[in-house]
Order: sequence, then structure tokens, then C-alpha cells
Amino acid sequence: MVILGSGGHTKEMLDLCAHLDFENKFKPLVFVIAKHDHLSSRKVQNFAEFKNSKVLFVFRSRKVGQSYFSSIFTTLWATLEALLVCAKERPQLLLCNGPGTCIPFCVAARLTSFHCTQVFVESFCRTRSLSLSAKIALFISDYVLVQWPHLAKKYPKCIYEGLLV
Amino acid sequence: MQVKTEFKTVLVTVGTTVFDKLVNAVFSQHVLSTLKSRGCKRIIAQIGNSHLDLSSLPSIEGVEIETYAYKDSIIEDIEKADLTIGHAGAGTTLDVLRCDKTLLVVVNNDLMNNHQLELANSLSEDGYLYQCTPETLAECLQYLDPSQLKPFPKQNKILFATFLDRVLST
Repeated sequence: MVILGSGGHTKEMLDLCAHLDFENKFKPLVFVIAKHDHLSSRKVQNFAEFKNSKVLFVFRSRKVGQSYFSSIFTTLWATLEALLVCAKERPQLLLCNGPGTCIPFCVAARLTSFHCTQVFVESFCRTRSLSLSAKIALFISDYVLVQWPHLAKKYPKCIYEGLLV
Repeated sequence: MQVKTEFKTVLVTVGTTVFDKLVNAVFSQHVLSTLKSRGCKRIIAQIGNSHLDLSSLPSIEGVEIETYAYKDSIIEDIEKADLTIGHAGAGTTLDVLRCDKTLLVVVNNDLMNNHQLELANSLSEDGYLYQCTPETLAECLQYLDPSQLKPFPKQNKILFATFLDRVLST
């Protein structure tokens, strides 16, 4: 299961996915994307059609600029939805790279499946500090990959393999 | 005197943001004449949802100007251009560097705590691109020297797949 963020995050994730063997190794493939993200959804649908996969549209936990108070409720709602999706799909591998949309899924996958490997890939934009999503992912996900050596030194739990995108 | 690299075709791109300060800066007499002095014959400008009145923008003799709001893929224009003047967006930045093209990132200093700045700073410190602000654009264009830039490392396409194989087999 691949969780897509928005804009640049979606692009990075699709770049990462472009070289994975979905035909033989990683199947069936499910993409999860926030509703109302029209720019990304077109790109994803093209990609998904090509890879013979399913695209699920979900509620977004926090819109840009939304107040922290109201985002408590929307995040709860998003987590509930993520629980339903994960309970149904039972992912064995969860790939995500932030932002907001992915954390409810990391939590939900942990709660619904004991055999799910979670990999969070921090954006190539992050060179000096981790994003909030990545900091949360450090507690939930199995692996947090970063793309700059400096970050792996600063946060020893992160893994640096090189530039991935 | 050493002959400076010519930038015959220049691409300007703001991505999905509104960055009128950059558009305004590019279409100022000062920057246009600097571009012309660097051999520019054609400017392709992707300006997004700009609030500017394009008909009132100044032009300069001998430089063809073409503007549009968006395109699904800007790669073709990047390939055509000898220099890209772009906002600090990660998508644009990566696209240009992957095409092995010269990139000048213009930082939007109106945005505070912009994490894209972090990327532009790191990449320019490492010598992969040039960086300036809308105010220093003309000056930067004058001295810009692509031979001082380092080639950006190629993508290792199997790195992520290899990582996944390793962790999934344990």
C-alpha cells in the first residue's frame, strides 16, 4: 500500500515507485490519496492504470492553514477511515513520505496488522531537519529513510542509503 | 577577457505557486538588458496564476518572449533552455538538475520558514546551483558562470528497491 501526499510529495513517491517491481513482487498494489487533490490524482491514475493497481480516495487529516484545534477532529476522522481501509486491505508493506495524510495510516496499519512493514521516506527537500510527519514516523514506522547524510547523523534512528529520487 | 557562457534560451518558472515578485523582476528593464547582454534571444516564462497585467510588461528588442500559465510537463522546455530561472520548488529543482541544466533558484523571501529554502541552501552550498533573491537577480545573472557548478549525481534507480528487498527478507 502506497500513501500519497500532495504535489511534490506525490511526485517524489511516484519517482520512488517507478523502479519497484509491482508486476511480480509487490502486488496487489493499492494507492491511497487525499480527496480534492486533483492535480495529483490525475498523475496517480495514469500511473495506477499502467501498474494495474487500485486507487482509494480518503479524507485529508489537515489542510494547509487549518487551525490546530479543528485538525484534532479531522485527524480523528481520518484515523477512523484509515482503520477501516487497513482492516479491509491488510497491507503487508506500507510506503509513505508525508505529509498529513500518511500518519493516520501508519497508526492504523500498526493497529490492524502485525505483519506490516512500514517504510517512511523523508522528502529530498529536508536537508537539515526532519518534518513533523517524519518525527512522528520515527515512533511508529519500522524504517525512516532520509536522503541527506547530515540528517542521519543528527537523528541516529534514521537510515541514509543515498539520494533516492 | 574570457568569453562568458551564452544563455540563448532562458526558461522562467514559478511552478504551482504565485510568485509575481519573480515575474516582475525578470520583466524589468534591468534584468532584460542583462539577459540580452548574456546572449539571450528567447525567454519562455511559466508564470502560474499571476495577477500581473501581461500586456503592460516591458519588452526588449531582439528578445522573443513567450508566457503561459501551466503545462502538465515542463521537461521539454527545460531541455530547450540553456538556463532555468526557477522558484525553490523541489519538483522544478530536481527536474532541472536531472537534465544536467544550469539552474538559478530565486528564493521567495516573503515566505517565512519555507522548507524549500533549506533545499536551495544545501544545494547551492554543495555547488549544484546558483541562488539569489528577486532583488539581486540582475546582479547574479551578470556573474553567473555554469562552469563553476558541479554536475548533479545521477539517480541510483535500484537503491530503493534494493533497500526494500533487504528489509523484507529479514
